[in-house]
Amino acid sequence: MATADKEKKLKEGWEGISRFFRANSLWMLMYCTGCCAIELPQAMTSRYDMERLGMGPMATPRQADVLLVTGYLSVKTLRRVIYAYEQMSTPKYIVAFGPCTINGGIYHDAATVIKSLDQYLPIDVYIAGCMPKPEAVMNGFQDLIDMIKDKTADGWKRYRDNYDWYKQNQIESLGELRIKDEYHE
Amino acid sequence: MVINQLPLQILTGLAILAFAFFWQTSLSGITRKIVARYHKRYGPKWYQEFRDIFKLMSKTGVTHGWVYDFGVMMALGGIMATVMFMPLMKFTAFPGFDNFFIYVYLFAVGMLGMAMSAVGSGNPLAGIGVMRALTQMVGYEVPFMIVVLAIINGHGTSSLSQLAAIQQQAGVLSWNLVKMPIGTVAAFICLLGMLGKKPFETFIAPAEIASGPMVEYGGKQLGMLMILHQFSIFIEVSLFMNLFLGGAANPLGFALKYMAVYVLASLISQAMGRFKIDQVIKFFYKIPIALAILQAVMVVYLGWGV
Amino acid sequence: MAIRQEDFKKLIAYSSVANGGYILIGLAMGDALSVGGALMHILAHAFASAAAFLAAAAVVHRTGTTKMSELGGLIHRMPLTYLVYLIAIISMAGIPPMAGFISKWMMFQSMINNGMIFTAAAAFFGSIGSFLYVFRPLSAVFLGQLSTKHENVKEAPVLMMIPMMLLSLITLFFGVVPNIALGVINRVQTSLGLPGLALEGTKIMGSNGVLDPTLITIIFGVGFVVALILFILHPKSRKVGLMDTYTASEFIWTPELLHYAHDFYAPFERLYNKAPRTESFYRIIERKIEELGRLAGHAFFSYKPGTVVFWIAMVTVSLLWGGALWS
Repeated sequence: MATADKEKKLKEGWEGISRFFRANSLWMLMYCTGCCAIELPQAMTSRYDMERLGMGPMATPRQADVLLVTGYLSVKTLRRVIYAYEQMSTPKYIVAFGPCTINGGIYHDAATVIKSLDQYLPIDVYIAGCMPKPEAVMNGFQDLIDMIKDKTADGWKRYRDNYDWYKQNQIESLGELRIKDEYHE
Repeated sequence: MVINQLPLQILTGLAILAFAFFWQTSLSGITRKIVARYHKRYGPKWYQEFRDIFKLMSKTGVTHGWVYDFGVMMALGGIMATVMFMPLMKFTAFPGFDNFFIYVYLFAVGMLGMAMSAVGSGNPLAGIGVMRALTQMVGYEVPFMIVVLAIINGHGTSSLSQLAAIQQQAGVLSWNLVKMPIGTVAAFICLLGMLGKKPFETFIAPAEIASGPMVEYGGKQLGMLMILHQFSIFIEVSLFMNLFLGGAANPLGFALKYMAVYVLASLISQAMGRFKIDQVIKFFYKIPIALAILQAVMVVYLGWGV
Repeated sequence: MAIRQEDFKKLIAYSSVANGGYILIGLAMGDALSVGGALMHILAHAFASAAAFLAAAAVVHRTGTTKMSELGGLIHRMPLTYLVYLIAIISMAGIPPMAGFISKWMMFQSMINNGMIFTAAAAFFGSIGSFLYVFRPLSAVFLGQLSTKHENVKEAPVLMMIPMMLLSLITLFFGVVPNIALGVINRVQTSLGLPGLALEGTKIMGSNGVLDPTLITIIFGVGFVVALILFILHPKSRKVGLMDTYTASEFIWTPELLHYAHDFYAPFERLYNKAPRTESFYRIIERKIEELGRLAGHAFFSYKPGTVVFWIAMVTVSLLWGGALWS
């Protein structure tokens, strides 16, 4: 009983240390799906410097921790975003910009736009504004860092535990997840 | 090699390894801050690189097969072996064996391991990135080796610690920087190529080729690659320091000289754009090689600068 | 030229040309160290080239093609052939801990000592360039995407594997403990009248430095162990297939389109495309020899009876009275 307890403490200690490192060195994958992506270069350049929070842009999903879903998602784009999300290495987080990811935003009556991203992918932080100003973006990133430190940012765990529910929603709305396009053969 | 001295030498080597890791990683963070101030912004904390590396080691990445993992370990093993041979102030783990060519070729083991594992991931962008890195290597190695040929011919020894000792004897005026200035300029340009800094950054640039060889790495393999990058910067800057700036006799001299070279290289690189890969080779075969051959002719045939 | 080739075997053949050049430089310099280096290089190159050709033959035996643009990803089906080829190219590129490094080291020592700048520049360029062309078959044939045509390729047969592995083991052995071979080379050198090499235990004394290959191998082993410990201590990775790779999230279905093998060194080749080719030089020599042969054919072996009778008469005369006529 004592060794199992000690092991648990060791594991938690290790988790705490990793969480400290993870919170302060987030690498983002800019998946610029829509209009809100325009606000990202401002967050990276000299006035609202993102590097002081430890964040930096990375080129591929394998290297990145945070997926920034900036803007509305059409059905075509959502298939690819799901593929990119599944290619990322755990632990991973998603930050969703703008109201389009919450309830469709200004495209709420379009036929091919996703209304509520949370049904398909687990979101950790929403940032409000259409589009959110750079101060709001930095605030959102700081919120994500605090959530990671508090152990409340567990989107990837929710995805892993409720995988079937997410997959069912995805297939219901999208039809096929990996399409064979005649332009790509 | 004496058998009973070997364990002590290996321990000294491992101590040099640990020191090199902490020193270079902190310096990387400090340089990021200096570059950020150069850009008129604040920049990360000085221990940011440590946080990046440990965060990567704690992630669960993906693997594409045994060559992917094995290549990373072979590369890191080769680079660690090279660091263990490097003379550091007064401590040399293997005195008498720190030949210049060992560094060049053990470095090639690291490059081969990384190339092998990058292409083993199955992504064609990794293959293209490795191709560009190897082509760049053809560019910068030849002028560098010619300048070093001049130095070794002039001083008669290819042991790095001895070259450093020769330069320390007569003060600043006997540094190779002062005696062979043309060669130093050529070698500094090659150093920029070796470190992979702009303008010779084509093979790992995110916008060019989605990070080139590092495209499929995530998790602990990427962490090991970052450690490899830090060690290779340490080897290259130490080589330059020992060959041209007279090595280091005490910690203060070491810190100042090392920081001077590395920060200068970073600042120069921040002010320039990127070359395309054929422009890189065309450049290296025009100016640096002319300077290097000029320097070699001066040392070998005219006897100047010794 | 080797960098430009699309065919696996021709590339290794052209690499033998380059290595022959090294040996010539070494022998021509006449220094004790350089002649020793040249002889050692003959030994190292023999083993490495033979191993590379055997690996190529194993690949051809199983897949039936030597064009690199059609092969790919064979490491997942023929891992032992890959290891043999890897050891061969490590030796050919002159990287420790294999035998090629020692011979290159010795030749560089004497080149630097004699101050031969331009030869050394050409030798360095050749050495780095050799790294380029040996890497190309490794990446195009063994690594990369596995084509659907080669899904059922099996490992090379056992009778082919045994000589390949033997050659690799010998290359590794002479890289780690070269002084056994160098002792023999020493005897050859002293019998030719040149000064011998200075060997001491496991070390080789060069003219401006000392080399100890066993030590290098041991330290490399220590480094590898440290890297292995670092690797094992951290969380395990999950295995994904070869086609599940970064494509900017696009879905891919054909492995052949995703394999980078054709025109591998295109930027480098663009730079010297306009220069006259060595291949055309070789072709000109070919044609001249052919013409010489045809001339001989016309003169000696023609269909005209007069010529044949003439030559028979000449040969008979010189056989019978040659001593008296041309003494």
